[in-house]
Amino acid sequence: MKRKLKVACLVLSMFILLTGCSTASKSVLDPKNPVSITLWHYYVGDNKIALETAVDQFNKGEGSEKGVVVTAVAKGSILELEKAVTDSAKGIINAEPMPDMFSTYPDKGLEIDQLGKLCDLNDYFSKDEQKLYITAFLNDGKYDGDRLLSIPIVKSTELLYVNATAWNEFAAATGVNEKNLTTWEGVYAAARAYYQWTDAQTPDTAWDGKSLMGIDSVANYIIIGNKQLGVEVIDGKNEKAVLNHADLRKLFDIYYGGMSLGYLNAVGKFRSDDIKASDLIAYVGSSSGAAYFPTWIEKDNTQSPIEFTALAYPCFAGGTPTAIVQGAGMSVTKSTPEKQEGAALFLKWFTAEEQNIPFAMTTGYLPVETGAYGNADYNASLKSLSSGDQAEKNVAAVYDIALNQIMDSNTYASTPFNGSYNVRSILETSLTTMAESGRQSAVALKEQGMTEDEIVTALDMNARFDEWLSSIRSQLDTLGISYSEE
Amino acid sequence: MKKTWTLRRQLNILLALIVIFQSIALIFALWFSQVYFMLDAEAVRLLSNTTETRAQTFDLSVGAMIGNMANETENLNSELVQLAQQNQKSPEDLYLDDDSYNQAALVASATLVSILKQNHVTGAYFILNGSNANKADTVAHSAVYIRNSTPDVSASTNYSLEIGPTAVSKEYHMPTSIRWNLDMRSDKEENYFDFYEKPIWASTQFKGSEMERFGYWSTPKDILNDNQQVVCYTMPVLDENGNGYGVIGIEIAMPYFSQHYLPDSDLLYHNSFYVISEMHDNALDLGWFIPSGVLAKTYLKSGEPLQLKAVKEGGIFETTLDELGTMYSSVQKLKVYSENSPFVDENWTLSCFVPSDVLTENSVSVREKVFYSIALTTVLAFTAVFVLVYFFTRKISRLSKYVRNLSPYDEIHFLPTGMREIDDLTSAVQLLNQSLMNVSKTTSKILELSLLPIGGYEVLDNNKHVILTDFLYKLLHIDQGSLISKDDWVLFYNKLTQYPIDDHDDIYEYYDEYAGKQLWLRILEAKQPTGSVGVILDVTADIEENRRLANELDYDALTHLFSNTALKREANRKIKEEPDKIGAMIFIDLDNLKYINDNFGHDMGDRLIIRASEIFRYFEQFKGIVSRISGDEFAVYLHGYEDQDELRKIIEKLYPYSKSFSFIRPNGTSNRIRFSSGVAWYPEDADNVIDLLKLSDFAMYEAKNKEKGRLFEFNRDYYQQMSYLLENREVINRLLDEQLIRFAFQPIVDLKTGEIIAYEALMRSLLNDFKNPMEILTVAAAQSKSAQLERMIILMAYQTVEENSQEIGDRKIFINSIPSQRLSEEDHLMLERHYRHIFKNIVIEVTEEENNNSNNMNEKIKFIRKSGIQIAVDDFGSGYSNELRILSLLPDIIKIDMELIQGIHSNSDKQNIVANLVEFCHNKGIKVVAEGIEETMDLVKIIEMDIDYAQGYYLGRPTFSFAKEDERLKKEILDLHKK
Repeated sequence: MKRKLKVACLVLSMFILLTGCSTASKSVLDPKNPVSITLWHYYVGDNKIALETAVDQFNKGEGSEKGVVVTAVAKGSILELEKAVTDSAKGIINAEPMPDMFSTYPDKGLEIDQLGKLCDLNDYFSKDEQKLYITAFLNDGKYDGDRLLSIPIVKSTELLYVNATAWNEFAAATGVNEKNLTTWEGVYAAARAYYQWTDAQTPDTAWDGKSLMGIDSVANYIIIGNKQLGVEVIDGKNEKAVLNHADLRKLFDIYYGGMSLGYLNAVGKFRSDDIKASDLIAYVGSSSGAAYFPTWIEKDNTQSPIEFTALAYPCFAGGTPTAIVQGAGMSVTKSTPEKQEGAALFLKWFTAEEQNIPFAMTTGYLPVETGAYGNADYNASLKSLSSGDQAEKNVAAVYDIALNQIMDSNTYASTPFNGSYNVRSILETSLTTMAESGRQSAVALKEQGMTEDEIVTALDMNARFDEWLSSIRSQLDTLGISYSEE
Repeated sequence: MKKTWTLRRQLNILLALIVIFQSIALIFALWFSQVYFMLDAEAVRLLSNTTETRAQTFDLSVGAMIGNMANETENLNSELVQLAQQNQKSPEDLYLDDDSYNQAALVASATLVSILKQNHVTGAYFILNGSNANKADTVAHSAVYIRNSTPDVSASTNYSLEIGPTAVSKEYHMPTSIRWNLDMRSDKEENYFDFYEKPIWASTQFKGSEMERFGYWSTPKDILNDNQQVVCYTMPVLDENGNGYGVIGIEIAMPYFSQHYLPDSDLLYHNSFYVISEMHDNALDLGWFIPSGVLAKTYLKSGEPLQLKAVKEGGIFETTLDELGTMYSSVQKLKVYSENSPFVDENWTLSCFVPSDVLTENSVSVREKVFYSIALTTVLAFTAVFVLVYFFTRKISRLSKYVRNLSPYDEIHFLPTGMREIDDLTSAVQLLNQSLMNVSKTTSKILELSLLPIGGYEVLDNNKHVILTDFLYKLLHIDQGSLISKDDWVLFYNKLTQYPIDDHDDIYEYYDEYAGKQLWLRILEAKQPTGSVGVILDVTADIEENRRLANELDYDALTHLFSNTALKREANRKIKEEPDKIGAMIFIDLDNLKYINDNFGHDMGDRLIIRASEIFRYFEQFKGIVSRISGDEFAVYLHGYEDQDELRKIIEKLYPYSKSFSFIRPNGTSNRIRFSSGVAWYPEDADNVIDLLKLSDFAMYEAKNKEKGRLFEFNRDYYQQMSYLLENREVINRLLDEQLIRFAFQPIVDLKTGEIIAYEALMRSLLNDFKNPMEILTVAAAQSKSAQLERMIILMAYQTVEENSQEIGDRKIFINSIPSQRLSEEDHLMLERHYRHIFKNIVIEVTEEENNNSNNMNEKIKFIRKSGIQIAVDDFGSGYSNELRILSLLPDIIKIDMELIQGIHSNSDKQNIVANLVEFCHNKGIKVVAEGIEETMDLVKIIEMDIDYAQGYYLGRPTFSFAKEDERLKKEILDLHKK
């Protein structure tokens, strides 16, 4: 009887031992029972299509082998995406459930992480795997020293896009040359000259000149402008905003002045649209918009071909040439081990050179893995672009400038802190709002037939600048973000 | 005999069978009721329902969209007609003028934005019949094409302008796309432009019909050449006469179509998917299809029709897909066209595919669970059966165990089982037992009353316990009536029979430790077929009486030491108890008892013995058995030692110890008590008491012979040489007491005449124990019996001579006298009185000995001479005798030792010695006898040397009669003289 009992115990313990062993498997994924991953992104147009194509490819290949199915959902612009994610993360009623992975900028990522929703990707990306990424890009996704909250997908920088056909005509007529466009002061002067030159073409009508220049991202303009002048507006180290009056004044004069007087303009959603509509002939914008720069513009309801010149991002006189480097990464939400591993698997696959290069090059992004830059395919693609049709040549020209900026390391990305996202939007909206009202005032003044000097005096730049500053201060105070003034 | 099973086993088997039958019945019931297959049917029904619901949802949302589009289109139609009228143009010419086109584009954009906002579509477009930018180009069409990347968001923030004038972009703050254009071109692949042509064609066919009738769904295609497959629904833009001059439509991009219209969340089973395609004759025509997800894209082969096999009512089909195996498919027709639509034949069918193993997964799992449950409950039921049966039958088992272990002396007290029949039975048994016990008690009582100390026991093979009578309980001091197991009994029995006594069979010495009494028991046992019975009788009284008598024999009356027999018994017992230990037997002989007895009387001798015994009691402290053997002989046995040296140290202290004892003689002198002793070892020298005594006695004898007053250890070599001395110790007494000797006579011949002039009387024993006379002499000497022997020899010799005086005549008889001995004065007087008349015939032979008592010798010679008896010196020249001694003795005859005679004829040294001797003797008047003549040559020589007489085998052997003269010998001697 005892012996039967012993046998029973033995069988039981063996059973426990065996089942114990079988659970110690490495991956939690099961190809027979695939895990479904929802991805929210902000890509539109060709980027969206490229991402969806890549997702499709992943689902049929790697995903089907390992047991992961990704569904990509476009959430509109980055702003909308961020709002949707924030709402979901905060659990606001009627918000959609948190996606399993989503595009995120470093400063937004930090905010979501503070809600305890992000997964530390160090658990899924080994040190060796992390080494594949360009260190600076990967570091954008690191918080609190080591927590890896996002994986870079693609990066972009900003540069100066010029409708060469229009510019050349202007340059030939006025003697201004491209060198004037290397400094913001030069850009302002050229814009003023362009306005006056176009205004002069219709002598009957005063103040009907055309704008030369547009700025896609005013926030970047403020951040980079400050940086060029040696100030970090967003001081991630000390977790505060730094308001340097002298520098801000330079930025303010050019943007507010330019916008008010019509030397600078912003009509459509993006400045590339303004080029297409021939409202502008130059703008500073992201390299990722390279493909959007047209080969022709609409002129009198017909297509008018244009040529294109890409120039480096302008620098303030006496400043250090610096351009922004930016780009959303992707973060993985804390969910089930299966979903987390599935999301990480997709990110590894998607950021690998084979997928990352074609995706990046759809519109002018930069790949994120070090290896990509020496990759033969990448170089071949660049080469084929420069010998392709006009549109492709445009993109190739942008890559020339963008790669130069990246390689010369005169790029900058602010270090985020809790609230830095708000600082960025406060700076942008406060300035654009000021500029909008300045423009309206100026239009009214122009109609009164005032001269440029009269208008400027009437606008009272000092007062406007103070107004801007106090607007910034009050908004920062409201949000409780610390700042210092110099 | 019928095989019997325990109640427990029978119950176990019975209940186990019931459990098994029940389980089997359950399995059969489940099998026949087909319960599992109901689950399968349920799964199929569920699949069918989901698909149906999805189809209904789809129909509803598409229907709503179509309705909305029809409204928007009709509104646009009228707006455009109005616009054309304002511009004084026909609607067909709107594109020709920049201004009116821009206005038309903005009006159309408003409609498109409205459509985009109200419907879940990824894009909307408006296409005109010609191109404003390229008016001459017939394949170019001015168009406004707006895409919405976030159709689920009602805001217009994510609209982008794919085709259309920048005015639209500015109006709606809408970015232009990468492939932004002003026109759409129809010159692509075949059927590319069907979304434009088909609705306009329909509108010409059914003029005046409702807008829904003209709507056309184009199958998935890449309209904008940007790798994006989209499905489009288009309606014609009609002028006031119902003539089409453009279209308005929506697009649904494939990923969004899947996400929104065929959501995964609908799917109940994993590895299942939806697909929308055309279906003809039970085959999905996969020329185009809209998949719900990656599975559909992976497993459905574009362009290859998929044959389905109807398996059930209600649109359930079965087919096989490569890796997914057998699939169930639920098929529902979608309503995307009005029934009067010219395109109604393009049936759109929604199919939902589920792998059959996934579908039946639940029923399989339920089947497994039911099976395991049945197995588990069966096992549990078995366990319960065993446990319950165990508890149910435990009382009965306990009862039977109780009965089995009962002793006949126990009173029976059955525990109630709670089962009436059994309890009745047990009380009946209880009564029966009571009466049986009474009978048994009576018998026991009778035995007790008989006053005999007798008890009995019974050991039965089939009973674990032994039955004892009261007497045995008392004897063993066990509680009356307690149960004695067989094992216990074996212990008791062995204890009782541990010490059988030697002299009686069946009687055992038993020490009752509890009572502290020595008992003797007679134990008799008889084997029986079923075991054995035995009787134990207390015979202590008888044995004690016997012992008391025996005890008197055990002690020496004088010394109160053990007697000889007690020594033997006790020593034997010790050896038997500890046969592996070392022991020593010490044999002691007092050296001077005889002297004391002789000189001071026996009382004094007894006192000496008592005093000596006190010395030997020294060994009592070492548990020695001290005994007096006889007279002056003591023996001590020591036993139980590990080695001889240890014991030897004890023994050797005896002599120093004895020095403190003295014996005061009547004359006042204080003397030490001297004794000789010998030791023999157990087991080295001998392993039994008799031999130990003999050997230690011998060792003592050696001491006595070699160094009186000492202790000798037994020496085997010496013993082998001298054993006869000891062995014949008793024999010599008998020989002396019974005078068991006789004489042989060897003739001594006169060498002058050849006549026999004398005989030497040679003592011969009548007992075979002595090989030769020498041994008799030695033994007698060793036993201090030489004097007695001498007396006997001399008296018997005289007697013999007298008895044979006639035959002897005047011949002489040589008698051997023991050198150290002499007869007492009384004997001398007696001899003179009786045998004076034969003194002339007697020659006494004496021998010189090394330690001769010269005093005795002289006394003896004195007597012989006084009596006129002649003296002969025997063995002259053998080493002891010498010429000086001969001189002092002045013998009548010298007998030359045969050592000097034998071989004399060839040995000049012997001749010289003998010649000198003869000359010396003749000078003194002493006759010379040559002994040991055994050959003629020696005879010749001694005659030649003038020796008087001769003796030897050649001349005559000793015989028990007196040999007659040998004439031949006489003649030979005489002849020799003649030479």
